[in-house]
Amino acid sequence: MDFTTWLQPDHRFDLPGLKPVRGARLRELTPAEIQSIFESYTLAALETACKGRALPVEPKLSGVNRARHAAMLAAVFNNPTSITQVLKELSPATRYGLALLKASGGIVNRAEWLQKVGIRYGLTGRDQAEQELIGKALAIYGTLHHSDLLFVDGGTKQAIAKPGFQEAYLAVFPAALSLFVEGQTLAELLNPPLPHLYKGQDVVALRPANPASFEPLLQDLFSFVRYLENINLKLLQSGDPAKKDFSKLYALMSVKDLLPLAEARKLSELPRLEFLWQLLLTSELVIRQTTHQHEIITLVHTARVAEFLALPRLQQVRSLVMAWIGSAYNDFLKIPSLSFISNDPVTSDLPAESTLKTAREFVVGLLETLVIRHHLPTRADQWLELSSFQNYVQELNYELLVSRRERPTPSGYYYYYKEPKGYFGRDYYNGYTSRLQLNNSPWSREGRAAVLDRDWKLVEGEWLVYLIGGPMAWLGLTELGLNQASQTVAWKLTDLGLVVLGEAGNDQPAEGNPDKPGIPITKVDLERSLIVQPNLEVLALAPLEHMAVLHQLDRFASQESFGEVARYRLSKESVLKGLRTGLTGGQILDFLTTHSRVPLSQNLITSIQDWNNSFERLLLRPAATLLEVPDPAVLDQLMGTTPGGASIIEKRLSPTLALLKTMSVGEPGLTTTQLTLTQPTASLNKPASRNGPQTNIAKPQVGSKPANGARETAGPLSSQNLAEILAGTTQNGKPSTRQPVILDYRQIKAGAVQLEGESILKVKLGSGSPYLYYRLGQFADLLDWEPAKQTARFELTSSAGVRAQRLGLTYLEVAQFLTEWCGLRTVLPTATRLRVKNWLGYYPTLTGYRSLSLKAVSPEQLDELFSLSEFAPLLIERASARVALIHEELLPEYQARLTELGVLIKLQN
Amino acid sequence: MGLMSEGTKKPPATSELSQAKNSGQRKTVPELAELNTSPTLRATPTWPGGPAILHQNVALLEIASETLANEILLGTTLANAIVRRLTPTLFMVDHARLDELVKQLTRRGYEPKILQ
Repeated sequence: MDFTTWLQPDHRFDLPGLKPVRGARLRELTPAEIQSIFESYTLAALETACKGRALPVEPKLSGVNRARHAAMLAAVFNNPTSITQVLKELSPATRYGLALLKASGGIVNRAEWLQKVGIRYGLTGRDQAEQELIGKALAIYGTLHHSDLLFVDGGTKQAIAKPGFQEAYLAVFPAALSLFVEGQTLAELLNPPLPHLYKGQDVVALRPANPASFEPLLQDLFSFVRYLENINLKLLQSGDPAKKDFSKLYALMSVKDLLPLAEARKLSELPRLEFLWQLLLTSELVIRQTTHQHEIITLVHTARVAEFLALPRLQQVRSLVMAWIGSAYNDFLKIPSLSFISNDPVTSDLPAESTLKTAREFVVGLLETLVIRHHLPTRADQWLELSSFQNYVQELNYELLVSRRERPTPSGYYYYYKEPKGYFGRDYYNGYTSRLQLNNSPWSREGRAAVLDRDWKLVEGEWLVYLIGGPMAWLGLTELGLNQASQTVAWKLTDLGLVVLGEAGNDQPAEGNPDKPGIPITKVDLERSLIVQPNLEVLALAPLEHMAVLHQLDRFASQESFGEVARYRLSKESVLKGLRTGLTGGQILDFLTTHSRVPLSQNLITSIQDWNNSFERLLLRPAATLLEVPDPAVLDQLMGTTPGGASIIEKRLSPTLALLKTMSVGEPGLTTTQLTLTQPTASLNKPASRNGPQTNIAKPQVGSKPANGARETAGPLSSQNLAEILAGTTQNGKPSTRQPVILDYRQIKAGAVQLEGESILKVKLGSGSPYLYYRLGQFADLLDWEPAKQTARFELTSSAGVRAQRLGLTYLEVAQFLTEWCGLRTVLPTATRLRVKNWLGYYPTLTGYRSLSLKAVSPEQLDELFSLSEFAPLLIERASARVALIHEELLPEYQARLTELGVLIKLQN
Repeated sequence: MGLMSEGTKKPPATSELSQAKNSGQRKTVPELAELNTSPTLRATPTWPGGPAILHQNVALLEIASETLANEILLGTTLANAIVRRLTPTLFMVDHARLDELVKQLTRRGYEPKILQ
């Protein structure tokens, strides 16, 4: 979503009439045809039409004189004098209906026409208009056959309001059409009455239902972002936060929802909180991301937040209005007067997410048009009548939320498998009922079901009320007015609403808005909004006007309060927090100097510098690249005269060591020769071990290609590049021709360690690296080392085992290391396994006894003997049911007692 | 202190690093060679006339001063995780134990600045 997006002019607001019936035309009818049409009327309809044209009607009209009456009517139907007379007598509803017909070229779909007239004049007015048009013979019924109208349908007689056609059309006679009003008068008839000022007696007592203010919304969004920046919130699979998480967000809100938090089970039950949440997501200040573990977490888009906070206030409001319009926020489900029964799309009239988005866009666009065309008061202290606005929207977009043509229709199959709860029929709003509905049958839901043709205001009208008092009030645009009886009867746009929706917002003057001095619509002055005090307290003046500054300040200071003035505190911990995000002490001091109205005190500067210095005492690079050369002169040349040398070196660490810059292969400035390394394919795809050593060593072979098409990169620098750069150096006066050795410390090379005998671990030729030696040296003793061949031998010894134990190594860690580096197929000999286990304390010490074993013929004999507790010290353990091990040295003490009991022990050799 | 020949050799028995010990301290800086028999804790893997070595994905810890380095070696288990001591203040450390090491250093008041 782009922050500069705003609504475009919409011509839907300029179409008050009905859509013309494409291609339909009323051909010229002969007098005989006209007569036959009237003859197809029922006698009652014919009588009404004759009376409507002031023709004499016989007392007893029958089939015998039908033709004569039809002929009389046919003679005058297009007579200007007769028509002029009839037009004078028309009711307002009929005049409006005729205006709709004239604007549409004289032919309209009857159902659409009835709906349109009914919207303005209700069901009674609608029926009266049809009665007058047909009953005064100004129009006739027809049905469309290709593009021609047919007026007679075999045996079916036509009655007023009963055309006798499946799909009926209304056609006005040409003379009536031309004699009816036109021009400005016609336009006035067609245009829906504009929303007008509230005219109730209690206008002075009106009070806002929910005072509108944008600032609390901005403050809450800011608080949410601050909270989410410090924590990656884990979301439910629905994408919403769990209760424990939204409870924390709720606690941060400056304006709470009406429902107490304890009663809310899910986010959608807290409308304002959900609204804020959706704004964050749609405006992409916060994004949802799915992790490899299929968890959904939140991430704050820091750059976007900074961009948003630095926007002029007007643009901030517009951005959030657009975010709301495009959000998944379901305003419809929040309508307090509706009771929701079902959200089944097959059986209910709940608007889809896309419908709601379009409807919100329509309403905001309509308000913008009304403001720009000066159809609304320009002062925010004037209330408008709520119902007049509802009427206006209803006329312009009757099917704003619920289609009258595409109705939910559960099939018989559906009924069979599932009871369609909340389905009342095609003529009702399905899936919910209205508590405002007059309940004719209080024991049934049907009594509260809203009727499609009658109850627009109970559904769509109440949705508009919710928008004005809810989301649009939270955005600071509108307010809903309550009368003394706490009924919502009026509404108005706020000062902010008038600017945001008006043309002033499009101009964006350079220096505020002169008409609305309280609304900063230009880019806020980001400078000098802080007072940095010597006691390390920072006061932010007019915080809501300086959100971008606060957002920066938040990175290294802790917020203590937020009001007219926001209070922050600097501390070692807060500054360290900022330093951890990559800030430096210098940047923090620069920021404070730029934005403080007073000079920074020396003690504050010293404190920040001290904290910074203490933080930078230890620098850790988790994945550095080092170049080590045998001769310091090589590095001297690289950093001095060798082409390309200086560009790859970041820092010299010692005479023979240099830290290289982080660069990618193929980066501009380096040659693009692809690095190719010979590495076992298996090890390339092997996942890195969590604990195990991860070193891989490879000698480059320029010109060969990676196996399986894998792109093997050496990370920051290619071997070939390095070889080319080093070729420009000399060692002992001779050009350096040896290819550099590349050691990757995080790659494991299976098979690099081989076991010789029971205790010798040999590093395979060309496979040694400092990291591999370090791992082996933890639990084995070095025997010999050949650096030029990159090999070494280690021996498993008991002293090495003791050392490993002191380092905290366990047998399992060593075994895992050996499995990874010797290769999965290598099985350690039992003797090796046993010695490593014993040396590393895997097995406890064995306990030895001098013992005699007593063997009995029957287990019972030993059981009975040792059931006597006096013999317990003598027994070491029962080796089996018939064998007991006893302490040899104790036997003489027990000999007498055993003899007394008749236990004889015959010792065998 | 690289080996001067390419033949098979026993590594030097003593470490020159031990000379950096602060003799005035009651506790002594751990002797790295006593904790680990890795040859590259006592000598460099390069030799005159040999190739240059590119060490990639190395976890590198740089400490502001030798005194501070010795203090940390005494007060923490850093010594156990040293792959090579490149200079008195510069260490290659075990990348697999970085999390544990950073936590311990932070707890002891030596929080490192992590440079990505």
